[in-house]
Amino acid sequence: MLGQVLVSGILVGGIYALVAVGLNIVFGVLRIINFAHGEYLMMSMYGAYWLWRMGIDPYLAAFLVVPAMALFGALSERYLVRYTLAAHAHVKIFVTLGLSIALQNLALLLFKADYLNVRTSYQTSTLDLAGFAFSVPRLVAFGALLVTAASLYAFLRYTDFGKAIRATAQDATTARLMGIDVERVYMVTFAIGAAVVGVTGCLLIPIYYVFPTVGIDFVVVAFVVVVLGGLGSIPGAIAGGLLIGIVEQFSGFFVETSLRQVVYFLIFIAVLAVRPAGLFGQRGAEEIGLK
Amino acid sequence: MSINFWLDLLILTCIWAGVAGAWNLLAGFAGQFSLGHAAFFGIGAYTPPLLAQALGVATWFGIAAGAALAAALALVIAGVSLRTRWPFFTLITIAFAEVVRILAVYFKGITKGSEGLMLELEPGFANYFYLDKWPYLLLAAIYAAGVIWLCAVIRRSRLGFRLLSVREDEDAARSLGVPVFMARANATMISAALAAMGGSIFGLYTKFVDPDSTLSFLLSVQPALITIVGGLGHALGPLLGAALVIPIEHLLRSWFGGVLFGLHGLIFGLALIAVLLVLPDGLVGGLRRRRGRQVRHA
Repeated sequence: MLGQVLVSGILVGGIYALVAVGLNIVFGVLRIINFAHGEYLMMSMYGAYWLWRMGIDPYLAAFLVVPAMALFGALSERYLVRYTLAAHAHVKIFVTLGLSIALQNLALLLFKADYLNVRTSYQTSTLDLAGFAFSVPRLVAFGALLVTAASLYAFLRYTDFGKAIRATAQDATTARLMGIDVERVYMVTFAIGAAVVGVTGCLLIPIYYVFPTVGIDFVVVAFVVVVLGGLGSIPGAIAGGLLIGIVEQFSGFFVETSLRQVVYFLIFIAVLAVRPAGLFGQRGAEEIGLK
Repeated sequence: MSINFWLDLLILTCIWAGVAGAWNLLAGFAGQFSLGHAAFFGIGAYTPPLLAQALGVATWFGIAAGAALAAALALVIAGVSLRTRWPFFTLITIAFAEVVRILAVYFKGITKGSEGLMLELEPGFANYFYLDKWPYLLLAAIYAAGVIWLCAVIRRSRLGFRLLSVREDEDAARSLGVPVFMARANATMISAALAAMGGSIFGLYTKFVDPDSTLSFLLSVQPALITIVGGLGHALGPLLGAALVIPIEHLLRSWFGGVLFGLHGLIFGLALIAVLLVLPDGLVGGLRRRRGRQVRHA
């Protein structure tokens, strides 16, 4: 029984990790908290839902949703976030918060507050492995997490543009002096963050309902994961996501389902109080460029 | 439109001017952006009726108790966020507010959960419980004026200067001997206590307290929005902001709320972005610039 709780914790954690990876890469490079990140997830889920209504399987829909989200991410950086980068702290926080409120209400206006979900043949099927039941769509999501994270990691580590992104994250001014087009790096980073969340939306729609405020549920967890894992660290985001998933399932099992959020918020507060850089983050990272 | 409509508008404007003033004390002066003031507001709203039901004490005592409770929570928040800088302080306040909201929903035995609490108190001055709206306008106006006056006083006090120095450069302030933690903790506690009083008045006025209307995340955004529109760091900013935001919000809701659900929120979000990009100093800053005066922060 406990093994089964652990399994479902890991699978739930995989989804949290995917949401957090996109948030974290933007945070690490642009040093802003994108409060609209959850709404990008909501948009992706609606996109996958409407494509399903038109007869396209949610997993195939990813091939349309992901480029669309990447484009939307790039545009929102170019025409909105860019103007906040040199501004006061409050402008940085509240512009993306304004975008988040606007997108939520736009969805409410267009789609009403109804909970919508798709029906697929594989949605409720499970796979029995070593005596544990694995839900198929959750397993697919977990596989996609591993593939996405590994390819993102390889991209950042081995390609020239990936190196430019990491250089900008370390020190934007020096990166600019070295001839890196920092503005382009910012735009591409935002596009990557939105694309990853686009993948997540398509994987999530067979599992979860979509409604205008669905993003809040996930983005709040993603904040916790980012802080836990450490700023700008992809392995940290994955470890943090899995940890939160496992903690959530166990606290749902032992304490009470409605209190599971309290448990991970308390962990979050404790981590920030004791080790503000996160469990895997570089010490002092929480202060770089934040003034 | 009836007189009650205008009274309602004035009362809410005053209450929100006060709560935004409380938020401004922490954000505008100390540079600590809280997105958890709904927790203080909600504690203020819940405490008087709960104490009245449990112990039968008068509302005034409940308001004081709510403010003290909020200040105690603020002290914990200040202690926990001691080592963190701004974006993390914001995230910590969100986490605390969510914990308070979830606990308020969870402990149904005490708070009636998401069903909400109807206020049924003995009418009269001791409980400040009236069916008429006028007494609440009086109380809300005194509250708003009191908060704004207090902010202006604090701005010119030793604490005010300390807060500004912390906002501008925390390390420099520390190296010059400013007790950074004390200054931050004091500002957080005062801000929390004032926001809780606003919540108490709101609860008494609406006579109904539930997690949605007193503890939701949007209520944490509200004082920030009002202050930013009015002018962050200016004592009068929250009043100007509330006088603009609350009536517009009210009108949008009464025009579109029933028909086009979500439209007023959409306008709300877009307006926030527009104000931030066009007038980052808010109305006060914009007016000063117009008159050719140098815009100083606070």
